[in-house]
Amino acid sequence: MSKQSELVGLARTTNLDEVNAAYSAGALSNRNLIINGEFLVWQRSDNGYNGGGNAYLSADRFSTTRGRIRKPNTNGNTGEDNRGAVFDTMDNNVYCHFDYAVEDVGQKLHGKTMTFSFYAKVLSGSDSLYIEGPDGDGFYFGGNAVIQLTSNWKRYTFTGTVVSTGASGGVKMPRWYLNASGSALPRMIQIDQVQLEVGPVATPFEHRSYGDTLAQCQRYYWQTSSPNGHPYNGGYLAVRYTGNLNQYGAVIDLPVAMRTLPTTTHSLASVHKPNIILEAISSASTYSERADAVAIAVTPVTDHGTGVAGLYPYGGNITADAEL
Amino acid sequence: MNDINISAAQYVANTLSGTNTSIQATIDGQEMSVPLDPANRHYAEILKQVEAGTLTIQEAT
Repeated sequence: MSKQSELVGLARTTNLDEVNAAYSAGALSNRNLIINGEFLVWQRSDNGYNGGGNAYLSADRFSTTRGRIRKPNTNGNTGEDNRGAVFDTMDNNVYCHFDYAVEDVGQKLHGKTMTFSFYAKVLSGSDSLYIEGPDGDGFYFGGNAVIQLTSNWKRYTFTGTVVSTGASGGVKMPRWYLNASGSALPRMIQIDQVQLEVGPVATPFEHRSYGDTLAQCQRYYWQTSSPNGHPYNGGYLAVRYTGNLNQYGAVIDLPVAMRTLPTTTHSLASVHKPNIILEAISSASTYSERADAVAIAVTPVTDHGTGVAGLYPYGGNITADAEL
Repeated sequence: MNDINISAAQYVANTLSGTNTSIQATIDGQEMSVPLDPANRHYAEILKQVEAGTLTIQEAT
């Protein structure tokens, strides 16, 4: 083997090792650990306001305390770029913040150097945005920061280290914090392309399809599709009637196994069943004993004895929540 | 998670086995069924408030 071919072989090996190392570190594929960073999925609503403690109300995976998260050009606003999400204060004279937590199974992120990035702007003029470091398990970038937003989209990046003890199953990202104290008008910022990746450098935003993003989001939240009061459009939901209990019961298989056993809710007031247009119910309950299913039990006002089967909820949703 | 308002918490038992399977509670104004899973954030918050003495869970009926 000539000296030249040995050198070429060495170079190839070195390059491959570097590529493998980069791949193992998560730098090349699926590198963005933020789910719905482009605000594609809004299962709960297009426009959610929360006046109290931390809650998930609109854009999947993002939560707020005393703020509103909405799609652009909603809630009476116009002229906003049709991308990302708008965070606004709405409730004057208080602070509000917007939060995201990344699931960290097995504390794999602990001690890693990572880069958090996002694009942001304001509708007009300029405004300052406070980026607040987390408490407890989270991404630490050396304290807090104030960034000055303008009416042009600009990318902001923060490199830091993750502390992950497994206490909550996740790590918090820095908060987008708006202080509305003394402000006469709601403060609004537009956010898009949120990314968290391994390494000290922000690489271009990794786009994902709507379908992939929806499936990822449904690990944390799922609800039946019942827009505008229409019946559950997945067909018959419950097919069993237990006469001695006067109760319909069903198990709904979820499209994605959730992160943990989910909290469940329902907003059912009545049910449909064959040949009887609408049937009043006296009570209903949902519960979960598996991460991939939700159970529902419905008690009709009229005791049918035996033999009635096939019904679906009318005008209400069933939800399953396994958010961090 | 901060400032979560939890009230009317009550265990729900399996009708066949009689063992507690979940907690029915009003959380921030909405009635929810919370599984007894420490990884569930609502159950973790319930445990926290019970430990702090600010919440009591009623037995199943």
